[in-house]
Amino acid sequence: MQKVRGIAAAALSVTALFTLAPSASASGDGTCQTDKDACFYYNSNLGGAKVDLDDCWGYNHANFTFIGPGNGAGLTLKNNAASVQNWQHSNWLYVYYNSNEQGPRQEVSPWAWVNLNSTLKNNNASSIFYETGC
Amino acid sequence: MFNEFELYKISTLLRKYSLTCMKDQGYTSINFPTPSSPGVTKHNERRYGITDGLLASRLGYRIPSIKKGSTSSTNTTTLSADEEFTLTGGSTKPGELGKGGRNKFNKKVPAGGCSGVALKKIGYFPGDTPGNPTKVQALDKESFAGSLKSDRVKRSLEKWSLCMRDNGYTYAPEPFSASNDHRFATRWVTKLEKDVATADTRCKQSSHLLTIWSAEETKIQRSLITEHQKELYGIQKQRDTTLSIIERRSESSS
Repeated sequence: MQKVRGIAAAALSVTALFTLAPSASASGDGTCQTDKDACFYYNSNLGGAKVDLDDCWGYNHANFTFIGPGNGAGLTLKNNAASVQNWQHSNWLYVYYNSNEQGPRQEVSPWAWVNLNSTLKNNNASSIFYETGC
Repeated sequence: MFNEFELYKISTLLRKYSLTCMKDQGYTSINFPTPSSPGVTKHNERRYGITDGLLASRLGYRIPSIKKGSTSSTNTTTLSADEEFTLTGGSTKPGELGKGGRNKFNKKVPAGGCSGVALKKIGYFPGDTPGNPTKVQALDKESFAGSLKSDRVKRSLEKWSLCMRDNGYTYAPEPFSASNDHRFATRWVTKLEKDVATADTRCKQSSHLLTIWSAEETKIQRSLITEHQKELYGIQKQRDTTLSIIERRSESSS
């Protein structure tokens, strides 16, 4: 497990518009990084194959696949996740029923994990951290 | 429920107290990035789908993002094992409470580590998960699902669908049928996606979909609040306590 921390010397005030990127090098590498990633699992209770999404962007899940070992390896993340971990210590994660962060959502607190509820289990389409950007 | 601005304050305090604790534990040069303040986008603003016509014409259905830490001095460094231990108290994964112990400076790290210390400062226990309770999130979904069964919402969706057809786009009278169009699963936004998203926002206006939908959902929410009054009262009390602590702590740190 790699452990990372971000170091920023200046106030974070610059805002800009970025379109939703379908992939990024730090996401989907199969490693859950502290203070960086959310990890989605194919099975409940963090079982089966997993895939990591970082905090650089909001992500549509259709662009990612579960990474083995375990059940679900090779399947698309969209509509196939049952549980999720938030590896950040002070940043909330939101998982959405629809792509592009639309519709109902489930919140995952910092340094916590949840089984997705009946609305979102196997119905996950996108996710974003409360605070995004790299 | 905590809104985006309240979560920002919680996040800011958690980082501040974690950092103070890390310094007390011997890591005097460590730093954590300051959270970026909310403002450009609220992550729940698309509860009923896209509504901003200007954004739709520029980005289609894609989400604008706030860039943080954009200065050249921003970088990413690996936490050492002992820094990680001091921060978490030895927790190796989310949801696991670290037992604590002594770090390399022979300082006593409490259970939950510096993250736990930060949580205690804002009224939680180490290992707690600050944020919106499961019950509130469940009711939030219940009202959303219930609103879609409303005849008024269904009629508005029919009008929206007809409007989209008049604009040359055929989509079922379902809330996200246009944005879920598989043709939009492209790396970059296309002209078609921008045109459809723009028409979507206009048709939402002409069909009064948002006004009707939010009114119907509000009715359901009020009914649910009455039905679950006792549980929600307890949650409200906890929320008020947390907000009171946060306000006090935020003022004293500014």
